[in-house]
Amino acid sequence: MTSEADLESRFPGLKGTEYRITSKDDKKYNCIAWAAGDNKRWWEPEPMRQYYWPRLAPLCRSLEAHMKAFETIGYAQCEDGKPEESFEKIAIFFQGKAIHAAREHDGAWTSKIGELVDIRHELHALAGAEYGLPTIFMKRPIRGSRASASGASRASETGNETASASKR
Amino acid sequence: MVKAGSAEAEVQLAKRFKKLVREWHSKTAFAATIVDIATAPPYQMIIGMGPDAIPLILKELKKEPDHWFWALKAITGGEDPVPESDRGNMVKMRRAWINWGKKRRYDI
Repeated sequence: MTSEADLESRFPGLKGTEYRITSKDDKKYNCIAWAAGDNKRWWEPEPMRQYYWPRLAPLCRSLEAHMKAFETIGYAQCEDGKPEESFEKIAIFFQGKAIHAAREHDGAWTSKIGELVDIRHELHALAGAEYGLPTIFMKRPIRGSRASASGASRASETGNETASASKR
Repeated sequence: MVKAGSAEAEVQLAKRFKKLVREWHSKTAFAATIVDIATAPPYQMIIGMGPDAIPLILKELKKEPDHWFWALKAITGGEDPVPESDRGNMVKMRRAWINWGKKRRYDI
């Protein structure tokens, strides 16, 4: 099981911040899947085409490809990562390529760390050499919220390929 | 000199494989992508072991889900028994590959 010391050695920005480990190690899903709300599949645009990647998104590690992947489940680009009532947000970390994604949840951020644990953390605590910077923010209406009706129609327009992706 | 195909050669191969698996896990625990996980040198060396590594990989996969799918596809020259609908679902990918191995009578 991954410890706080393991995490802080890799992500020094976590030191002195409020964060906690919220799951056991799990190889079955990755950060992009977790940000998308899917803990059953590994989402990655990899060249052997063995892992899940939305058909409508380009098969590469660009920001645009990752934005397109999140668009398929109803997300649209927004200004920043500040919590907004009735919306959930994701942040895509970038350093030459899209490396990581985190999801905003109840005012805090949650991330899956590689093949390891999920953590709740401050957004910028993961910024640094490992993941780069949170560069793109996207949001979608939370299911059942007043804003969700328009969000649901937008997801439908973009081709929501993953029923499990919104099962939080 | 160890004779190829002998029991001793098999033991040596299994030892080398286990060592490479340990190195692979220690080097890639924090890796964020399959590309990083599967291009780690120990993983590439396992691919380099060729078809002899297939039963060893399938045995590992039977023990627990892990990212052996690139190696299996590479060593088998592009085989992939996983239907498109199950891509990324490691539980189903694992099952498909183990069934594939059983059909080909690998000792797993």
